[in-house]
Amino acid sequence: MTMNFKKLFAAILLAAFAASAATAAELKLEAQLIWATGDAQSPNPKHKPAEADVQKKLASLPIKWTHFFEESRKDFTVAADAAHVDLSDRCAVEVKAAGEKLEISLLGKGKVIWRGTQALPPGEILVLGGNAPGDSAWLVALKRAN
Amino acid sequence: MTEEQQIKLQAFLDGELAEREARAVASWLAQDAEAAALLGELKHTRAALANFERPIQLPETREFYWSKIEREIQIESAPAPKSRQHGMYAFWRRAFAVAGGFASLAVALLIALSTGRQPRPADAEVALADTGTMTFRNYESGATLVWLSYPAENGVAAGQPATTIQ
Repeated sequence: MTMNFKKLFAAILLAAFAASAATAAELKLEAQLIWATGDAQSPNPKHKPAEADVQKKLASLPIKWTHFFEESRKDFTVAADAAHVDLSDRCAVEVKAAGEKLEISLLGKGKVIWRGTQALPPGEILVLGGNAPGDSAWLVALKRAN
Repeated sequence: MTEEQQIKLQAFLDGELAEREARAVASWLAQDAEAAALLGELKHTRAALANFERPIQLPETREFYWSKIEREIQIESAPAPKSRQHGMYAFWRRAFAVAGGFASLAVALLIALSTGRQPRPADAEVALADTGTMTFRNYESGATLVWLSYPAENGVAAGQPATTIQ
């Protein structure tokens, strides 16, 4: 009886340790595809204004556009393998853990157009961007999920 | 397009080419749509990153500080009067002249550094890993921007005059 109890206790401890280890290794992130423009309104009815904290961070960057509209948003988890996130039919990101940092790849039409490695602490944001037609820009914003 | 051609386009945009070379590039642009498109992207990028650099403003002109240092050097290098060419007095006079020059330089650097330490909304950290990207980091807001200045073939922006970026 005592031996069975000890075995059960050890099994419970082991399971708890494995669960906590798995949780610690996972990282919850959020990716947003954002359209930047100088116009106060977006002609796309599906667009909604970007979140206030994201807008504030975008405003601190040296880009000329003043209005930001959210095209799509995806929450995802980064574990041992790379996470592939489709933000549109032409744009995707892949994120893989690289020690304390993240290896981030931006894909356009299925091809890697940028890859970099950097840390993304809570409260910070990584923005990948480029020009779009009509004097606007596309932005992909990556941050920790709340 | 080779990397050398891309760099030449950037130099053309910045007005850094000799007149003859600039004419050759202008002629090339008239015939090469890809080059013309890249030039357009570079122009957009430059416009988008307007007011990128925040120059450090010294309280007085650079010439003023350097003129003080130059004066000290001239004093130190001027031939000493015959009656003072020898002896301890001449030695200390030269030593103080040199020390004065260094002190002026140190004061100038301290003033420049203390001016630069005023809170700035952004510290620019630019990395040009290749000619197609530029990185900017705002340490205060915790935002990092990676700007891809490739032409529209980056595959994210649609080629048509779209109102969205899908």
